[in-house]
This record gives sequence, structure tokens and C-alpha cells, in this order.
Amino acid sequence: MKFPIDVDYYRFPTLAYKRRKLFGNMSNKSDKLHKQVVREQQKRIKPGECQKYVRMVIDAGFLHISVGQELLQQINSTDLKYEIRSLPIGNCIIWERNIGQHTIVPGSSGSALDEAWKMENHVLHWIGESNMHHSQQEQRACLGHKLRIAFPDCQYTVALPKLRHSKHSSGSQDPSGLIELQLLHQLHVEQLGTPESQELLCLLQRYTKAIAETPYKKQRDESLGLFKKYLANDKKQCVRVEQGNGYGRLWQQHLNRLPLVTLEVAESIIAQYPCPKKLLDHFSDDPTAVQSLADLKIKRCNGPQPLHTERRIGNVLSNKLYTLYNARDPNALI
Amino acid sequence: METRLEVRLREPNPLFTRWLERWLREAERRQQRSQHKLRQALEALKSYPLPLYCGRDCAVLRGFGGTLCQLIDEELRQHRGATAETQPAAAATAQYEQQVQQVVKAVQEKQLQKAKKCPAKKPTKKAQLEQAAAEERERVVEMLPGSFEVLLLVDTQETSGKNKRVLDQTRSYLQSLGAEHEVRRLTVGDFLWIARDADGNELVLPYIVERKRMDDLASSIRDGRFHEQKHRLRQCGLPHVIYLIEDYGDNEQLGLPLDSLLQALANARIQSGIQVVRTENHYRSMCYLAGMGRALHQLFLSKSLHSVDRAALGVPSASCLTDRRMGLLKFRALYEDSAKNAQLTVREVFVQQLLQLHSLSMDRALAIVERYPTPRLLLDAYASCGEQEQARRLLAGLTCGALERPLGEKLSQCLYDFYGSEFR
Repeated sequence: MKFPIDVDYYRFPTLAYKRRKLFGNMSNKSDKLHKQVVREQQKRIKPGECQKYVRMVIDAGFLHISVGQELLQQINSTDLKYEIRSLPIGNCIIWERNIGQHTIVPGSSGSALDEAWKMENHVLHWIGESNMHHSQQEQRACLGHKLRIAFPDCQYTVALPKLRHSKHSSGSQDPSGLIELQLLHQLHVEQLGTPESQELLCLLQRYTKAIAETPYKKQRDESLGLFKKYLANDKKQCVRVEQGNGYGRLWQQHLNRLPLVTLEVAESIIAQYPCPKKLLDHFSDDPTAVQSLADLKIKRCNGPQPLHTERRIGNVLSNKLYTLYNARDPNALI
Repeated sequence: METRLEVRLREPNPLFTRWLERWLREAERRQQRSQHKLRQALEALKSYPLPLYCGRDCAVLRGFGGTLCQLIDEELRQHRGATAETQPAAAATAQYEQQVQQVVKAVQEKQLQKAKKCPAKKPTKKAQLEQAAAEERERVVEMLPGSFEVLLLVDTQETSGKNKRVLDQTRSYLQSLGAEHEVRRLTVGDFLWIARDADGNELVLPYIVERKRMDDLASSIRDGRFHEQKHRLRQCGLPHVIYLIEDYGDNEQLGLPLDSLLQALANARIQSGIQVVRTENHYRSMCYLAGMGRALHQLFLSKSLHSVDRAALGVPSASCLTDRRMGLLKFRALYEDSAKNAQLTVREVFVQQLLQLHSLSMDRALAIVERYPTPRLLLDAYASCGEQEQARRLLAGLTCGALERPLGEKLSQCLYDFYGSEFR
């Protein structure tokens, strides 16, 4: 049942009553405002919408290099928003997100956004062909340091034209010091094929999309990151429960969550305890519950085989089931 | 515990021994030739542990010829006649057995007393092993500069189990590039570097490489493994994760549009902080690894390393690499910690179970688990509800997600019915 905020609760008192029962009495104005802010925030970080609130800031230096000029020619045919500014280090691109109050209203012309922009923690620096010469290795080595001073606490990427592997250098040599850049200075390296301006544009599009969606992903991963095991995986196996049907299948799925449970094991358990209540009652009523569960025979699909020894559920699995349904400590190990 | 008792009679054949001694003394006195044989026989008899019941039995022993045995039998007949021995051989055996039983009882009593004195039981082998493992985990390892070597570890399943041929190719490339390496089963990642000292202690350098060919990448994204792998790599405790992405031909025909793959890589780089390195082929990938190995060798040569556990690892910063001293994970710890079947907690299994229900999203499952972290706690709450209606609606008001949407009556009822009703 949905509870749209915009319904006129004076005309539909029953709905108002139901809403109050679930939400509590929310006539508090500040609460309402807070809710509104949160809703706004959620809208803005949603994939698709979020890109409208992110723009690039391109260093003016790009105007003077060929790749920059070509890039700027092509960029207007994309959806990317950008600004040109003089940045502390030449040939850099940074990203900013709008944190102002106004939202973009669909259908309105132009951007009615407040001019409140916050920098995202990513910096991209372009190293041209001319700077890739061997003799300028030291300059490149200082690059990491300079970037960190100009833009503290960011992730740094250097983009450069793809290196051609010369026949003279042996396989594992690193003449351009790229590996050192990656390791020592923790710079990410992106090598771009030709035409570089086009490749750079595509890269910027991808990066912009990824940066725009970062808050959304962070929010989603916040709670997942606490768990060791990756939990959000199998949506395909979900069980639909309608009017009391499907509980059996759900119970089977529940049992399958335990690592030791195979199809035969699950079926054997279900044969004895077709619903969780039966198993729970067994645990609470029977003092030797764990033992009798452990001794439960597994019905093998192939019929009785002479050499099969493991025809019981076993102590280990029985204990795990007991722990699962009786532990009050959520960190107890299964 | 059963103890084996060996019962040895101090003098198994006292009678025969004494006679032989007497005869030997006489023979010696009379300087008879028989003394030599007698001496031999006596020695043999003294060494023999079992009781002998007649002269003929003695024939098995050295030095007992036919005459001597007859003599013994003669003597025995006379002896029996003289002492009117009432005990037949069988009774003697019975008596012997009785005496043995007495000895056994005495030993048992002694054991009991001993057990009472020192009640501390010696720990079972399993417990001993566990204790040893725990001690090993606690032990702090220190490595001084120059006391260790940096070694590349290659996962045995590096080729995702396809065939050994690719593993061999990996190894031969690495060899030709002069990169020393060892093949080992890794629980996470495809390539690792360890610092190993003379004692065999192994600390893992904070870099982990996962090699993926473009077609592998596409298939792992399609079946959902990609996110799980990313999660595991980020959870392992090594701060610098590197995806080594290898082209597959001209990167067409991958099962997913190339652009989607590139976006996935950009997302990994931007959102997960994973370093993405693109290479053209297998050989170039190995070149990169060899180069990286060399760079790491240079970097770590002059550092002093010590072991830390995952909790104390902290956030890596750029300055870490220039530190003189670095805290690293032990290989064993990483291996055990990242194993796929590492133990789950009750909370984790509970969340997974809740997710099985359609329309129960992650947000909702987490909201439930935050309030009732284990199934037992939820059931307890159900039990403490006064009436069934209350229990059915117990979860309806839980707020889920950033927008704090309520869980809803339907789901709440569904869960209550699932756990509370009897169905087939």
C-alpha cells in the first residue's frame, strides 16, 4: 500500500489515520522539511538524473594544444557540461557537483541551478606526446607530488597517448617510468589510442558518468561493506509468496543458504520438518534435538548404494542449524 | 586408555635352575667334561622367561641334550615323590594366572592413584593443533632490510581452471622475463607478492592483481560474478587492487558491447579505487608483472617489515610507501581469511535467507536485521506479542533505506506466517 504525500488527507480521513498509524504523528514542520531534503537528495543521486548535476572544469591550457582544441570542438555535441578555467596545474580536468538548492525542473529551458559547486575528488592530467620524452622522466616523477599539493586528497589519473613498444626495449623494461608512476606515486594511467581527442572524449564521458553515480553506489555499498560475504547476489532465485503458496519453496531456499546443504540434504530435512515451525518446535521441545537431527537419514536419489557411508545429516550440519535458529549473538559463527 | 602389561617372572624355573647349579658345582669339583655343557645349559635356562614343566620341555634350550633332560626328569620324579606334590600342572597354571591377575590389579591401583594426583589431562591432538595454530597467528614477525626476498606468487587456477597449458605459458613467459615466481593456491586474486625471509615467514606486499581477459570480464559481468569478485578483493585487506585487463583479439564478439565493459572498468576505477591496467596480450601482461615485480623489489629492499593483523592495517596513504617501516599481513592470515568458505555469521545467513523472499529488498532486509539481528531474536519478539495480530504487524513499521519507507503490512504478515504457521 503506498502513502503518497500529496493526497489530501482532509478528504480521505481513513488514509490519514492509516498513515499516522504507520508513520507516527508527523505534523512537525521540521520533520517534513527534512524528509523533503532527503527526497531531493535521493532524486539527485539517482543514475540518469545525477549526470545533470555534475560538470567538468577544463584547464585553459587545453585551448593551446591540438588535442584540446579538437576535444573542445567535439564536446558540444555531447551532453557533458563543462567550464573552462585556469587551474593550478596546466592541462588538468576536474569535476564539480552542484549542491545548490534548486533542482532542475524537467521541461524548463536553461539551467536554473544555484551556483554552488563542490569539487569531486578526481583529477585528470593530460601528458602530451612532447612531454613523454625520456629526458623528461624526472619531470614526470615530480608530477605526483605536484598534483597532490595542488589538489589534495584526490584520486589522480594521467592520460597519455598509447606508447609504442620499441623493438629495442626488452619486455619488462619500463622506459617511460609508467609503472613507477603507478606504484610510487599512485597515479592511474590511461593510455589512449588514436585519434586521441576522440578517445579522450569517450574517457571523459565514462569518467563523468562514474563520478556522477558515485554517491548512489556509496550509499548502496555502505551496508554491504560490513559483511564479509557479498550478499546482494541472487535475485533470480527469489520466491514469490501469494496467499500462502510458496512457503515450502521459501523454506527450501532458506535451508540452501547454509553451505553444507545439498539438494538431497534439504529434501531430507523438509521431509521431516516441512516448515520452520516444526524444526523450531523440535529444538525447543526435544532435549536431544541436535543429536536426533544429526541422525536423520538422507534419502539418496539413487536408492541405497552399498558403498555410501554418509547417510546421516551429521553433527556438523545439525549444530549449524541449531546455532542459526537459537543464537542471540549475531556474530556467532556458523 | 589401555596399558599393556608385560609380566615377567623373575625366576621362571627355580627348581631346574637350582639342580643345574648343583650339578655344575659337582662337575666343576670333579673336573668333569660335562661342566661346559652344564654351564651353557644353565645360562640358557636363566635367560628363558617361561616356566618349563619337565625335562623334555627343556630340550628346546641350548645345551640340553637327551641325557640332561632325562636326568632332570629323574630328579623331578624323585622330587615329586619326596614332596608329595599335590598340584598338577593345570593347577599350577591356574595359580600362575591368579598371580598375574593380582599383579594387574596392583598396577591398576597404582595408575588410579597417579591419575588422582595429577588431574590435568593431556590435551587431545586436535586441541594441541588448534593451540599451535592460534599461537602462530599471534606471533609477530619482524623482517629487517635485506633479510628477505620479494617473490611473485601465481595462482594455480590463474586460468580459471580451463587448462594447464595457459598456466605453463604464464610460467614460461615469466621465466623468459627473468621474474622469479612460485605457483600456489591463492584464495583471492591471481597474483601476489610476498616478502620471505630465511625462516620461512611470509608477509604479503600490499598489492593484489586480478588478471582478466576481456571475454572473461564480459561473462563475469553477465552472470553477476564481477561484483562479488570486486567485493572480495576489496575485503581481503590489501589496499592496492589492480585489474590487469587483457585484450581479446580486437575486442569484438565479447557478449557485451565494448562500451559497457569500458564503463564497468571506469566505474571500478572511480568508485572502487581499483587500478586498471590494459594490456594487448598475455605476453604483455607478464611483462607488466615482471616490471612491477622489479619495481617492488627496489621499493621494498630498504624497508623493515613487520606483521600486523587486518584490523590494525589502517588506511593506506601515499606517504606509506616512503616509510621506512611497514606493517603487512601474514600470508597465512590472508589465505585463511579470504577463503571462499570462510565461516559465516548468523547475521549474514539471516540476511541471505530474508533476501530469498520476493520484494524483500536489501534495504528492507537490513532494516529487519538491524532491529532483530538473529532469527531467534525475531522469534522471541513474536512470542512476546500479546496477540497474533500484533505479531503479524510487528515488522510493518520498520523504516528502510534513506527515504525511511516502511516495510509494509504485507511483508510483515508474510514473514510472521512463514515462521509461525504449519504448512506442508
